[in-house]
Amino acid sequence: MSRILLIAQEKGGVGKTVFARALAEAVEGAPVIEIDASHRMRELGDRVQFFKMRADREAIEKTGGKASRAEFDAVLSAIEKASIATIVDVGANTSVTFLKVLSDVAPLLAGEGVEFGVCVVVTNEPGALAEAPNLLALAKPWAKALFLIENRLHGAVTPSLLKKITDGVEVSSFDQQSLEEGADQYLQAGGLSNIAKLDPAKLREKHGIGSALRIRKDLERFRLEAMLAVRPAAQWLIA
Amino acid sequence: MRAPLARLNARIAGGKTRLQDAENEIKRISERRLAELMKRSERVRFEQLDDPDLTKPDRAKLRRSIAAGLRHGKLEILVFRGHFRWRRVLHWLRYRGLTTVVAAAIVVPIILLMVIARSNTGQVFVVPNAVTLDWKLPSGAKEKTSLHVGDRLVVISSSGTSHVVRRWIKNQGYATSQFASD
Repeated sequence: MSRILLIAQEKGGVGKTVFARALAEAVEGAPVIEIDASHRMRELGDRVQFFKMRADREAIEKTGGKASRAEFDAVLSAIEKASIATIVDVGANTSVTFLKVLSDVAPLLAGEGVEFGVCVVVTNEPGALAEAPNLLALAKPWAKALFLIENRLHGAVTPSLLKKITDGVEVSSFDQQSLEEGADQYLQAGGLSNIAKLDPAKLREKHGIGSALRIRKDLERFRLEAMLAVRPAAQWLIA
Repeated sequence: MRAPLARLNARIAGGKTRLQDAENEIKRISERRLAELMKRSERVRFEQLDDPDLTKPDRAKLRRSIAAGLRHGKLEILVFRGHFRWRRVLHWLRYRGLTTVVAAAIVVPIILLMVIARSNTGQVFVVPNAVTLDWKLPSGAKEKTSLHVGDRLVVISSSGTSHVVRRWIKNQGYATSQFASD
């Protein structure tokens, strides 16, 4: 039996890849399937299988339903072959279509011992808030576990609204992180896995001692908070 | 505890330790910087209040050290400068007292003028019955004048039913008389 955890949100810029990276950090050695317009998780090397999707909704829909669904054939094959707990980062403009495809396939794969969990990421933006219940409803019939990460990048989501859309869903939050100037370039370049590998001497040489220490502290905090936000999903994945 | 979960918990615990180490290192650098600054003059300490290497608590300590110095400075003025109070009064006058004095110089005469005007303004009294009054003219001479119903008099002051009235005589001034009402 293998467990597959999908990180999903139709809207871009909500932090899906951050949490996919955090899962990869928390669950050491777990393979990652990246479905996106561009390959971002390069720092994970061979752990990642990348499947390129067309960048925007218009391009996806242009070919019609069948053709757009055919794009996922290779992804489904990779999922079918997964023998251990696997993380799937589903890119923007792809989540709804992919979950619809999985609605058909998941019962078949369940017979082969594959279990799906879906983790929806939401921010306090109308687009993300509108898509979150839709994605959870799509996944509910076949997903064994549902998670929602409230990324407070744009402030906290109104608690009553959050409660309304998360019936039967395990919720965690990720507070907005303030980063020392210069810290973000390390996140962009190396994700979370390279934080531990940063050379303190080189950091000091480049930024000065005080700034280098603050950059390191902010990155370590970011990594830890992201791992704590994905912890419930990670626990399910490895259980 | 199963191995994968133990590994997950260890990863998170490791993350906490790494963060704690980074924070401790920042505290250590901040304490060292604070110790350096505490040896310097108040002016240097003041200029370094926004030093980014200082943590929030250390910045507060630096601020308190400057404040303590300022309080000490005030005491010196009180003790050793006899003209401190006079300076303080001058300072007050300069920034607040002057405004008050100017405002008073404008407001007080206006109030006085209003009081004088009110005390010299009579009330009009309409004569209800025909009457003859003895008037004292401005020259000191006396004159009898008959008044008819509806004539108007200006009452200057009253005491019970007795009123002092006056009338204007052109080129001479006010004539006054006593008048008793019912």
